[in-house]
Amino acid sequence: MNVETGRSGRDREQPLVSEVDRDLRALRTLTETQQPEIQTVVRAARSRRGGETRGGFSMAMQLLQRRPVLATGLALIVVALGLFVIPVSYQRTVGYDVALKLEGANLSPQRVAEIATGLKSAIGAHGVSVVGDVENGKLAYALTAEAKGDVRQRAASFERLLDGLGYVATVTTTPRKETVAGNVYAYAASLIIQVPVDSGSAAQIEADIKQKLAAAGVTNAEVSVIDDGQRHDVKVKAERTGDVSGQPMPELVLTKGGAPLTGGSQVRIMKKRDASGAVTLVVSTSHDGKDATVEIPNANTMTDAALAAELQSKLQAAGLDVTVHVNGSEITVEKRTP
Amino acid sequence: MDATWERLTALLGPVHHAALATARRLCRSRAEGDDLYQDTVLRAFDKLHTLRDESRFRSWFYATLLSRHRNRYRSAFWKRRVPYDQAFPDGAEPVGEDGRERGAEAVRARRATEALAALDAAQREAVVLFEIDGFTIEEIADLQHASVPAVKSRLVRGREKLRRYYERRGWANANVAPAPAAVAKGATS
Repeated sequence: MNVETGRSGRDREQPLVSEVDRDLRALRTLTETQQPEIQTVVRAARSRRGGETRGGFSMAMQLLQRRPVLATGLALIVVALGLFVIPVSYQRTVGYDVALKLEGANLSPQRVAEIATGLKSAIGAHGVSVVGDVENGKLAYALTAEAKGDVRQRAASFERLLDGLGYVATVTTTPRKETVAGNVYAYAASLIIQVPVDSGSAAQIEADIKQKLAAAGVTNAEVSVIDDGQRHDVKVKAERTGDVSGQPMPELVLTKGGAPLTGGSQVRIMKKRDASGAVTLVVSTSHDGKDATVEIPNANTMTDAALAAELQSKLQAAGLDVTVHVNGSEITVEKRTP
Repeated sequence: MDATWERLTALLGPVHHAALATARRLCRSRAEGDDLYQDTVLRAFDKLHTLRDESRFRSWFYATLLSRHRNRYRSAFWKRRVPYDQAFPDGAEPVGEDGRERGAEAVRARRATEALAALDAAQREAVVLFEIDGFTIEEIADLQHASVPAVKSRLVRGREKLRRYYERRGWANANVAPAPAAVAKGATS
């Protein structure tokens, strides 16, 4: 073929935007680099052709080895299918048992019936059972109900309403869990707690985190949210004891505008105590998109300063520019200030 | 069979690098382009007995490449599978004398790949062959089995789509670090 140049062989009547031109030139340059030699391509094509006469798994493996793009695509599909197909059993909160204890001198049976109706309506329960008993010479009523969904706020509001009306009322809510058979994807989703930081004040966000952690089974969490207008400082402290192996902690994901927050810092500290009493400290942290997890065995035998130095050294080796402080049981990991 | 492979290899020699580069430019990633090229080589092997005039091998091979490209992009699976940010990853490129310049080139190449992917296959072929590879409109018409006016129309519409795509993405006057040195446009082989 007699090759003439295209655009360089004539005046351009309609030149492309210069930015597009520059990008096309860059594409031209980069597509000319790192090219396999013709022998390599022909060899691969020949073996691909040879492999096509075979069948079954062997052929599929040969095909994948020679077609990396296809292999990547299929690997993604396999992983995705695995997430949706691999069966696992896990526990999830399906509702709450609400117990209301009523005491007071002004509790007539008719009044208790009205309160039971009010509770049923407030938490959307199908029914409320009422049991009256005498405690310490006083008549007390226990109202119990089962509700679907997270009704703790509504139950607490109902308790405040009764208090305001002069009753001595105490509401307790207990999550009702059930073991469900689902897939890995559903399980992972159940462990992710999303908390929008643009949904209200610091106190509201704090309550939201506490409530969602409790719903996920972490009932003793200490949560602190500080909003100074520029940033949110969120601290969560939760303890679990006993054999928690195989029971991952829920992951807290802070979101803004519906999307996970990026660029901030997150630290998860876990202390694992074995039967001999030795403590292994596991610190998972992310700063500005970089993640690292380090383990310090026998952390209980180290001084605060030695532990801080060891942690800082390992995290810095993992590429995180952070400063670590240890004060007794408190460990803080902060981005190093210049 | 060996004789056919030897014949194909000999004919392919002079056009190998240019045709492989064209395959990459038509696709959404380097790996996909290499795959398309390998596919084309296999097809050429199967059909080599139909080539009567070896002096026309280059246009015959490019026509085969375009045919494989069209077939492939009819499938939605190929359209959506490879993310653009994997097309020409920054770290995967050899660093030039100025490392930053190569990084900027990678960004530019990714943008061009993304914008080209917004065109339909025939427009993309016309733009790549004319704007980057330096083919004439008549040559492209021959390769695409189309008329000269049809190719001109594809070029005009393709350019317009690219321009609009860049405008929509705010790239029309973007500052993407130093522009790469101008690449002389010349014959593709």
